[in-house]
Amino acid sequence: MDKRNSLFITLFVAFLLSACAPPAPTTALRSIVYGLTLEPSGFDPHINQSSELGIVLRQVYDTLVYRHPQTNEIVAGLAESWAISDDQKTYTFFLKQGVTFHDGEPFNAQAVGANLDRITAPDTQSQRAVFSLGPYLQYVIVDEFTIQIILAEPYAPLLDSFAQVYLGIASPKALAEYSLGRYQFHQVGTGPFKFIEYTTGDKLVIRRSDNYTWGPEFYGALPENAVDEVVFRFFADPPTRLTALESKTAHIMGEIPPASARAITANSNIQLFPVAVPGMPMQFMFNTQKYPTDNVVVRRALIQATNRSLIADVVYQGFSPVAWSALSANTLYYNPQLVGTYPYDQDVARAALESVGFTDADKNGYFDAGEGDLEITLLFAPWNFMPETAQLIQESWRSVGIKVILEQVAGFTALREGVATGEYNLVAFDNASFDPQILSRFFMSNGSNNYSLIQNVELDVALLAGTTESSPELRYARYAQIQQFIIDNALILPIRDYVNVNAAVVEIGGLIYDPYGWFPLLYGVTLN
Amino acid sequence: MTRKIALIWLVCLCGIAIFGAMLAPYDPMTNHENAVAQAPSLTHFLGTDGLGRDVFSRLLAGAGRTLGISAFSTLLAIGIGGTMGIIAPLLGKFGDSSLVLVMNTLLAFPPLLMALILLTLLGRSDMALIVAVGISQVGMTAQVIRGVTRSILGEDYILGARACGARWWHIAWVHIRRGIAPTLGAQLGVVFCYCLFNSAGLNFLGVGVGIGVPEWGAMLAEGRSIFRTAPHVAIFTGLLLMSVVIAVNRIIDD
Amino acid sequence: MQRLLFALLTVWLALTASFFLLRLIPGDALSAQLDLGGASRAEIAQARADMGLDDPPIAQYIRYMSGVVRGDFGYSLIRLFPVSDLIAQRFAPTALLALFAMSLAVIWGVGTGILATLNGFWGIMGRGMMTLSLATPLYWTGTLAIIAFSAYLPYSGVDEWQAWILPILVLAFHSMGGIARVAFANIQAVKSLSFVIVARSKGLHPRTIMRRHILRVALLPVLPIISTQFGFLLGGAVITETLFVRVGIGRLLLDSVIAQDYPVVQGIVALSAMIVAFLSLITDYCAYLADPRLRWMDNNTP
Repeated sequence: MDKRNSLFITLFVAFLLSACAPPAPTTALRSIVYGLTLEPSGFDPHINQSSELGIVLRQVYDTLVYRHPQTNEIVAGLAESWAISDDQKTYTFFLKQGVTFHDGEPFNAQAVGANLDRITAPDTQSQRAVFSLGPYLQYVIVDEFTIQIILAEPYAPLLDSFAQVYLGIASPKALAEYSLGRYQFHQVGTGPFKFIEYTTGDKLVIRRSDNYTWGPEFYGALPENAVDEVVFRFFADPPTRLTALESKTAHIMGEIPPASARAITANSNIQLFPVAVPGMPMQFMFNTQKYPTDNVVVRRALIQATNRSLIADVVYQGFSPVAWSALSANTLYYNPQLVGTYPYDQDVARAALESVGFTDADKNGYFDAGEGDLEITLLFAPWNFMPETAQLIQESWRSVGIKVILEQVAGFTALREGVATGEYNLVAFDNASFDPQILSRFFMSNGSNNYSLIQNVELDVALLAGTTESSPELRYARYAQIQQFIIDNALILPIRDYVNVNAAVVEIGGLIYDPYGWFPLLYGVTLN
Repeated sequence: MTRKIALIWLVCLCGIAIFGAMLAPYDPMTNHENAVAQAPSLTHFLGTDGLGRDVFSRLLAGAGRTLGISAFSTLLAIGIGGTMGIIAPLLGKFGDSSLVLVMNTLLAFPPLLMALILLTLLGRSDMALIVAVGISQVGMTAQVIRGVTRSILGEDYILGARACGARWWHIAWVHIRRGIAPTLGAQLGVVFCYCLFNSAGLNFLGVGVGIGVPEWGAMLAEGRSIFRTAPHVAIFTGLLLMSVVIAVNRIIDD
Repeated sequence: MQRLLFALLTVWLALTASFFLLRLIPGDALSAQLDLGGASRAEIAQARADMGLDDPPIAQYIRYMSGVVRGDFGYSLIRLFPVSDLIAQRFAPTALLALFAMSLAVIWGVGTGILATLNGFWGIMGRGMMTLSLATPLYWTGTLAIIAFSAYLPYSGVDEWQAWILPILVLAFHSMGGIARVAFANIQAVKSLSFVIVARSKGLHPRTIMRRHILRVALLPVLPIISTQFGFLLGGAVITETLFVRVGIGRLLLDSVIAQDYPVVQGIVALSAMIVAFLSLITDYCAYLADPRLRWMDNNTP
């Protein structure tokens, strides 16, 4: 027995040692692992809607236009230039010549048309791309390198949509060859990287395309030591993400938890890339139809009772700034005049509540409402550190005299149903977008995500005008007014601007992110 | 000797479970804004957690809920599972197969799914939590007890009892009870350990009950996300949980 | 034959229960996905109707079951894939991991259980290891393993064989405690039974007694633990898969449950039921082989 035991131990140790031995020297291929977080339901840019898919596919596809990473302006992509008709309903794109897809197919107006056909076909059941086209009517091929997009009515964010990977241009041959469900495994674009493989649940692999010469100007020349291959894997567990970087299991990773990120600021082997994501900051929307948040005084008092800088410090470790408006600071047409509105002051909040008749007759520390205490229900899902944020809010409102009920649901599906019941006072949400037209979905009377249940004609008119007006000055005026209205009426409790804390091992160079925040541009990334 | 220590410790724990909230030096929910994720000190005996709450107070205040939920879900699992496991082999081939059918159906439901369904249908309450955590252990307990009961039924003394004309419920109550005691005890210990951690597992899925209310399993899970900067939260909670597991299993062994 | 019928019944019962219980929870993955992408309410309602989600549950059930009988488990609501494809793609890594981990856990668990019955140093070691396994949740064992060994051992993905070592060890360590606990308690109890005393009085070597007489009987209760734990490993592999960045059924299940992608969840429940029923058959048969007394049982039902 003992002899056998020792034999086992010897074998086991030998086994471990052989496993720990340094791996055989790899080929000259410069390969890195990029850590994604959750696996989305699919990776077809025209069909699926997640931000995660764009991290990979931004490298595989070019778009007709790009947003410049430094200036944020729309610049030429696959379209050399474009013209917009006076009635704002016809966009003419003049396409680059000499561009080929990774499968050798030529890029031209017919290819763009084929992509638009696929996106708008009812069978495609596009979850995002088709909606980003707005009031799209049809396209007209003028000649081989000129295509017109015809809209039913003016739609200002159209160029912004064409700068996003969801309208990335795929090879018509590949689109025709594979079925809707299968194309995501055989994607063919014109971008700096070729799509090699996608194994669901496991990984995606992209490899550098050799003859990529038609990139947007800001890409510049290909640096030495540029990476040849990127493997994307799903690091779904936040607390171990940093360990994965430290052990070089991954080289670049997004969504590092702030507590981990704070711990490595002194560590020179990891570099941090906090990237602000434009759009709607992380916020709670007030239900304006349910007692007691149907009273604007109560809503304002609640904002003032919230110690947002404490939340930013404790939960987000100072990586995200406090949010003040319905739009994040780096979003188009952000209204900076709202900074500092409703400053934290519990005494003012308490006085405001008393001014509308709330009292604490039973002296139990909570204001009374009907038979019981004044109760507020917070509805949220367990992402973006909402549980921690909600707990801090619960605590700070308790000291004002409000009992907070935390209702956590499993995910967006359940959140949606929770909203549908109307049994909430505040619901947590955020949304990424560079163009402020995202607000329409949330604050139009008939908006599909009108969680604050606001019905206001003036606001509807302003939001509608924001998407149709052409001049940037007019649009800015509209959206500044809209943001002012939202804050004046205390429709939301903004918490913090969304900042994606990315990190990379020190050997990585040249990593930049585009203005949409989520998407890295891996063209010039080097591995030393 | 060790048995005595285990017994004393368990009695202490029961005391803490009942009076813990009163003994806590701080309110377990209060955020000490200037002392977030702080190491143990004189003011905060076991340090503070990631939101600046006193760990010692939270451990004291959480004892009742932690031990209560685990104990009741264990009772539920062992009660239903044990009964099913003992009765099944006594009911003849068809009855046995039918009960096995129920056990296997329960086993086929992944615990997370079962919890999500139960907590949605029963509403978010501690009661629902106890049912959700307990039910997920019923299938395994029933199968294990059924296995032992089957082998005991072959023993001489059961044959003897049968020969004397004993009814099945008499056999179950008097004879089988004695035979399955060690397995049942061991199973009790195992299920208790699983229940101790499972209610926190539901928080992981976002269907947990009582976000922020002190509970040891949840504290252990929270401690993981701040392990780098404040390892003391996980270490103290982990040691405490381990002491419970050791004590409970030590007592069961006798 | 009767047992086989009951195995099939298990699958049917689990499927039916999951089908109707899932529909008691409001919401579905399709609407949520479209909503996130920016679809209007009318568009979402249209998509739901197209997918047949507004039909009465009974009609949906009949349609679903008639597909299942033909081996068609339907399509995922959001993944554009047949459920059977989705599961098939991920089954092997999960099943292999469970198989390896369980084999190791049985050896490790029984060994620890025997060790724990000894007196002195080794007994303390055995009981200590057993308690440690029971007292540490899987996500913590996994996290500590990653922190301690990730610099020396690759741990992500399923391509390299080295990447399997840590998950197997961690999962085996977690499952080992329950096995050891039951084995330990039963060995203790069996030691004092009549046939062991007879064997001892015959002057047999203690090791022979342990091997021939005690273990055979004492380990019987371990069998169902192994089979039920195996089922758990398949359905509940989510923590291992999440920590070790692995592809598998567990992650698919979690994502689908959260998103409420019913057809996928039902498919996994069906798979889980098949495995549980199959293992239950095997376990009963093994117990039958190991313990001659059971043969008497089946011929003399009360």
